[in-house]
Amino acid sequence: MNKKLFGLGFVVLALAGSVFYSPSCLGKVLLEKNNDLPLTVFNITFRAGSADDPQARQGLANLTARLVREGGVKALGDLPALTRPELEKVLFPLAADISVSVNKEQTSFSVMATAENGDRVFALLRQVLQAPALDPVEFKRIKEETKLSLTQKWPQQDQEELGKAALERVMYGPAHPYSHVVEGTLAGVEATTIEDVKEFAAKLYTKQRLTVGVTGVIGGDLEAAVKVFNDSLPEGESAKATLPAAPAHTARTLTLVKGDFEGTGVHLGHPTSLTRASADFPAMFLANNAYGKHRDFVGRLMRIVREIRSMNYGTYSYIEEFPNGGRYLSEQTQVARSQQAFTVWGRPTTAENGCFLLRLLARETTKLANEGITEEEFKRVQKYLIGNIPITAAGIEKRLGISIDSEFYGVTGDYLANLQAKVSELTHEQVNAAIKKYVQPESLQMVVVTKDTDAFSKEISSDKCEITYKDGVEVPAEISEEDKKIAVYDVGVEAAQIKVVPAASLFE
Amino acid sequence: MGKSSLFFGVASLGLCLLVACTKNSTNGMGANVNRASKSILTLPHQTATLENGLKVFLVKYPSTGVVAYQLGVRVGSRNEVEKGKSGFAHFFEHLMFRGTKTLSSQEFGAIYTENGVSYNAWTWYDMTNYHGKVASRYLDKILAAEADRFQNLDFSEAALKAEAGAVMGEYLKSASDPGFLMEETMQELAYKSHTYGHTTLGYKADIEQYPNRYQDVWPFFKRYYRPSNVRIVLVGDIEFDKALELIRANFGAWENPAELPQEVTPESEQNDERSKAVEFPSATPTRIAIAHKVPAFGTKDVENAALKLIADVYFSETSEFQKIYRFEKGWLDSVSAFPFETVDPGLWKVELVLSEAGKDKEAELKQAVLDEMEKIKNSPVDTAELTSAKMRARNAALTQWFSAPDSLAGQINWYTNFEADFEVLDRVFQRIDEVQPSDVAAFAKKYLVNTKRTTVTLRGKVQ
Repeated sequence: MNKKLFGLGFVVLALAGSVFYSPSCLGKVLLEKNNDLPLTVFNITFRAGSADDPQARQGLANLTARLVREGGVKALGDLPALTRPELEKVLFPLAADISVSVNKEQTSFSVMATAENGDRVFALLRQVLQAPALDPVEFKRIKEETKLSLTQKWPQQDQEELGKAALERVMYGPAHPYSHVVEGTLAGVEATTIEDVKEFAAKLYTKQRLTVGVTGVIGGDLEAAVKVFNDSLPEGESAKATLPAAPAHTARTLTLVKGDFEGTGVHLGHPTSLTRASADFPAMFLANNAYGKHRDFVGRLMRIVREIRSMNYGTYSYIEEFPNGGRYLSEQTQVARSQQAFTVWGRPTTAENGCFLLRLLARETTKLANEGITEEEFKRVQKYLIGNIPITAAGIEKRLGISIDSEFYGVTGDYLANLQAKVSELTHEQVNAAIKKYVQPESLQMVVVTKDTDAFSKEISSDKCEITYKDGVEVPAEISEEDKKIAVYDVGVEAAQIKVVPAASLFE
Repeated sequence: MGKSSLFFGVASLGLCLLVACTKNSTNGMGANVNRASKSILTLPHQTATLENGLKVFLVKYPSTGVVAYQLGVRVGSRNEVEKGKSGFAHFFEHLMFRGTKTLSSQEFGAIYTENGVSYNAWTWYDMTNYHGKVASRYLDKILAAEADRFQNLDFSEAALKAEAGAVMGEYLKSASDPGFLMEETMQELAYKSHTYGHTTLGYKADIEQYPNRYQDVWPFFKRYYRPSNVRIVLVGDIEFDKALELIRANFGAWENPAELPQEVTPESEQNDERSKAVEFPSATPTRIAIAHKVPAFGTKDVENAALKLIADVYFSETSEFQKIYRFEKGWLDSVSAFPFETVDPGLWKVELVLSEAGKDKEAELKQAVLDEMEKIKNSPVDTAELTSAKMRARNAALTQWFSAPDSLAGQINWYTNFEADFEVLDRVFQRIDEVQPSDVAAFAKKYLVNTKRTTVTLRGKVQ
């Protein structure tokens, strides 16, 4: 154990959630004290995830996190060794449900405790992380569960997450560590051993990759315990994964994912160089909200696809990864990535309208790149965001998660307050210039998830595919005119170039 | 922002900040507020009922500059008593976004957009909820907009037709989830006359007819969207007097229409064991749901509390059942047994998702669940386990409910839908504290019996 303090700064956050960073000792520990609420929130995040999975061990980061959490604990100090069920029995009455989230580049262990149980819960969390027992029986179970998920859940049960996973594979290519889902591949999971897990944890659950966040009621003992934890972690070899550059797509592609679903889902996008650390981020943040704000009627896509044409439940766009968007209404934390993509998610429409939806989205995205957003959209969304940005993190857990992500991106200050201030200063021209820079219609990678891929392939390769409106849906004349143009829009992929992949093949 | 630069100044001297941050008790917490010492709700709160019957629940929460708001309507798929109109409460929730007598759908939406509000709605068996978060300084605008749509909803037939398509899209999305087919099958099998027999989304055949339902939605609106059937919950950075004044100004003149809610046909007592197997149209793990009819939510006695504890002691992740069948034998991928509170007698479902290793163990697993039911009746519950479950209930509430203003608003809205006073939150935990081992056995003997049981098994299509 390295006892030297390294890169350790205690950063005390202000009551309103402002983050005060000290440039001379970059904070890896974030403490926010708030005595109004009867609880304490812990979030221990390592900058490690599926992008760190070695070759032929796709899924290792996820298996490691799960086994550390679910594999029981060895004795640590005066805390006794416990099997998984014994540990759960201890955590149960405390309602201290330690949850684990693994994404491409972050692994997070988080838990909430009542104020009076804070010290106890942190001690148990520390035991999980520093004295994991890695029980082989639990490992076998976790592997089986993961394999089931890869063979059944992913390819068969959630059409929309399947489509996003396929798009990710197409956008980044099979050689990039983002190309597999966090749970890995069947072959990777099968090949993984406990030794792999031990090695992964030893190498990556280290101080260089660590950010500790605590918020809520924090007494002196707890503060000291947090310091001891941070102090006792090994230094580690590296601060982050080294990623290859995302492929530069020079042409559009279309991949049809064959799956047994009633409707047809459409996904498209391409990698970008934009992250929260980019100077253009606020401009693209505004642009993306105007184009396809997640689960809201603010965006253009929601208006033209759902509200006017009644084609599906929603269509949205993203400049940052947004996993499980069907479940979450607002951005999750600890899904930060050093490489992001611009993507569009068209939720399932009827199979007969699938072709039209793809044409509509490819055409509209091209229009966005060429023409930008309108003055009206700019003004409306700018005003919206000024009110909206502060409310996205009303809860203390979320605020803490955002601060940890700021640490990931090297963004200093209060992320939301700064974003709000920058958005309020933007001009229409700046936003459209950013769109031109980051939305590349010639590079669109397109994925369609549908049952009858042959029929879809024929349809999209034909000169025309028209929309079939639901019984009684009436649209204004200008929309009918627009529909005629959409119906004949060429998505730019020759019939012979269309790839068809069975859903299961993405997870093998 | 000024403060921020000050701290930067200090930090740039090379000091790492390690400062005990003393919180003063500002954040709008006034002095003239009662804090009941034993109450689970330790934050300042106030309640009121307007003359028209609309109920108001206000809580000050330290979310600087932000308020979570909820408008709960006591209507859900439970109220869809007319044939062909299943899913109407949910359809209606969609239509509530389609404009008012003075505002088009776009103009109405623009009020929320202009003020940066995040807003949404959901519908469930017993309730429809319109909720969101708003900067405190724009609360007046949002309450005015909500009051407008609750009192003056208006939209064209074309708008209704467009929204019908969106609802069908939502149905199709749900239909790709085996859990939804389970729920649809279970509700229909367990209820013969009560409207819990269909899911909140309604039957597909009924949804297909929505484009022709323009005349039918208005009576529904008048019956259920009435002040005496609505609650407003605000949790966040608010002043009680101002908030109440705003609510009075916007909702005070709203009159209860003459149309009354329709009677819901009670379900006659179940006296037979029911079961059904369904096939999901694609490959998926086998699922088994074993349900028992249980009492409606209420805090008059300990029955609901006993059920909550039974679910935790016998089927949670720390239970003997999960230890053996999920973790040791590996036959199960997941177990869920969360009891949903309902206005009328509901279903307590123990739902199993079988693992690859357990795919041929359907019969053993069903029997294992039934064995647990017998155990609850015949062997006294372990008192340590019961205490642990009681502690968990309170600790979970203190953490999960209070971690964000919208979580707390949601819990208040949920429980006041059944019993419309703040104290219902405390009664829930009082009843939990009161549960004795004998109550657990008594509950099981009364309700967890084969004549109240409905079992649904879902198997994926063999490929």
